Amino acid sequence: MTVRDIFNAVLGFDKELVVENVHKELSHGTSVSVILKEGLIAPLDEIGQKFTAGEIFLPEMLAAGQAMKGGLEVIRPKLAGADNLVAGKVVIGTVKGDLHDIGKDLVAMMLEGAGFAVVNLGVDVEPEVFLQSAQEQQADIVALSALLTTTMPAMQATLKRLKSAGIKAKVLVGGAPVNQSFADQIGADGYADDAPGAVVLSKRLLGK
Amino acid sequence: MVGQNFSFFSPSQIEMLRDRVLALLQTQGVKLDPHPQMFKALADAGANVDTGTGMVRFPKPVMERLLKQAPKKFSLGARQPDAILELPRPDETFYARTNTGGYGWIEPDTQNYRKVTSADLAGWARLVTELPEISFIAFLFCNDVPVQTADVHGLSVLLKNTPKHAWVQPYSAGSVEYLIRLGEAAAGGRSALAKNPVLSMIACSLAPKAFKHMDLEIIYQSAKASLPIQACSLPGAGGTAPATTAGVILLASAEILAMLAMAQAVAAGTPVVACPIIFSTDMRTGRSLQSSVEAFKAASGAVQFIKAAFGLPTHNYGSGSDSPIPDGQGMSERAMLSMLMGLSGSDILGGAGQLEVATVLSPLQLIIDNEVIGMIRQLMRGIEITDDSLAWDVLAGTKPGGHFLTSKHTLRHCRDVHRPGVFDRPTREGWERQGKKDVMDRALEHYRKLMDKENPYHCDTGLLREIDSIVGAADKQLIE
Repeated sequence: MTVRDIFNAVLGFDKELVVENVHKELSHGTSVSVILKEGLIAPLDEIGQKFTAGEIFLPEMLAAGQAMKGGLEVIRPKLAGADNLVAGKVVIGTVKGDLHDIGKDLVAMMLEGAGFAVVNLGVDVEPEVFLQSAQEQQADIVALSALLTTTMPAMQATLKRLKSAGIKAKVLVGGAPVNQSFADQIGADGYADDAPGAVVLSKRLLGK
Repeated sequence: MVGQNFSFFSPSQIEMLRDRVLALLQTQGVKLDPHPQMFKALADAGANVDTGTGMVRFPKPVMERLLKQAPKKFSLGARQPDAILELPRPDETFYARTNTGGYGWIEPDTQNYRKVTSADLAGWARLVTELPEISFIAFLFCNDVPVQTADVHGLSVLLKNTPKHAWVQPYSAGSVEYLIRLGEAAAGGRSALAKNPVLSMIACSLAPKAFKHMDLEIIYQSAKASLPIQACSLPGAGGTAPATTAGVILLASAEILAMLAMAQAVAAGTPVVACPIIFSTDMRTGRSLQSSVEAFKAASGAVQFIKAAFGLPTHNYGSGSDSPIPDGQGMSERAMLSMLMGLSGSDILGGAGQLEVATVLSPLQLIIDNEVIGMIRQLMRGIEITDDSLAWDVLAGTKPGGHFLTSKHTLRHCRDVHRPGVFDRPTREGWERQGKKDVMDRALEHYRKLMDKENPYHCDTGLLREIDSIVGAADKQLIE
């Protein structure tokens, strides 16, 4: 039993095995730093490369992220400066008037898998609710989703509210009717046309 | 009928799947947003309604009764008699319609992309009037009208520019009343609209197993107005529906039946078209796909199943592609889809003219789709076996090594063939002499010829005024 077994369990998308192996390694006296770097973060790099190469698919990527999180929750209390584990804080929601959530939830899950702390506000979210959450969470990123052309104005309204309140978080927009031109027009900080792109963009915007 | 000869399912599989659909509605149920009138109608019809949670379950005997009430044959009306659509189509083929919604536009002359305007929509409606294989039309999302009443403005443009049937996607609960009023104006009054429904209304589920207030309102008001309802389930396999084909068919069918039940509960005898418009989720990006093999198979299977199990008219994408441009991939995708859905027995093939998963429209693509659809309808007419078609006497009278070009039989039948419009079959030399044109070039020539003509449809000035008055009232009421 070595840290490599944790690595392989993440690659095997087996959350229960990851948790079991992390406990075993801790009981053997392996340092949490080694478990974190070699057992939990390293396999995500390999998963990311395989995903880009088209060798694994989204559900597998999400399952690997969930498996890694399982192990992370075991060692989190033992880590000094646990907040430093977080790649960034993201508040995400579907804007007011829009009830569609599958794309937004996918982005949320992928951001979590990539190490972001995500607060998912759900659907039909008022601008004031985005603002309040962004302030409470001290969010680094606020991500707005819309599926309907008719709810895109709500993105602009939300962005305006955030800016007028002096929120410093980067604002990203996405969803089927949204494009770069619309994002530029309303002054958003970024646009991604799919969930993997949203993760890459989020990391880039925060200098990760 | 040609379409009945191809099926993914055995009779026992159809029966098993049918039982599962009814079991899902009985045991799992569906969730409705609060809508007191719909809750009451469903409860009065015998459904188990929990108004607190919004969960509605349909006992099997109740569902069977409501299914019997739904007519299996009816018409989609129009403002010219030859544009009225009998369902199922009497010649046992299908009807085709354009995309609904869509906000992007590919300019015919330049192939540049931009956003749709109401002038584009007016031209689109004129084009549809001229294309014989496109039987009905929906409005696009015009970017130059108030967003709160884009649907009302859109329908008004259609009614002014084409007499063909319009299928209508409301964008808000508040619009429904105005959209129906426009239909009444076009038909000549409420009872005239009920007799000749020049509109049919789209209601959608929120997969999985949920219904928004807006769609409940659409079903409620449409049933009250005796308008046909196009009950659409738009699940994405692997995202908002199970990843497996049978699972997504099960979900889509259950959601459609739930909408049928709602319509019958409000007004027994409301015509309902079953629309299993099935997508798959791209497992690399999470995006919805219309033209994956998985989406094709599920759509085809759903149509075959619903027709066999419930006898309802069916409607789904029968054209369109996932490519953002009308390229070789796009043409291949839509040709496969049209052929498959025709052979599957779908009564309506939708999506003519659309690209990029139904978000972009191209007039030239519409012209090409009109041609392909005509070819597939020709295919769907089957092979006639008669004394004349077997040509026994003709064969007997032709020497070995002879020919049939000058026979009277050939003369009698030479015009039975499908005559191409924008498809062409020159030799290489002929193609070079003609200027090396491809199908897009020929579609553009045809487009210019059609659009240079005067619009064959003239909207009565009284109706124009009434339409504008209703649109004005909608703008006043719905724009904050």
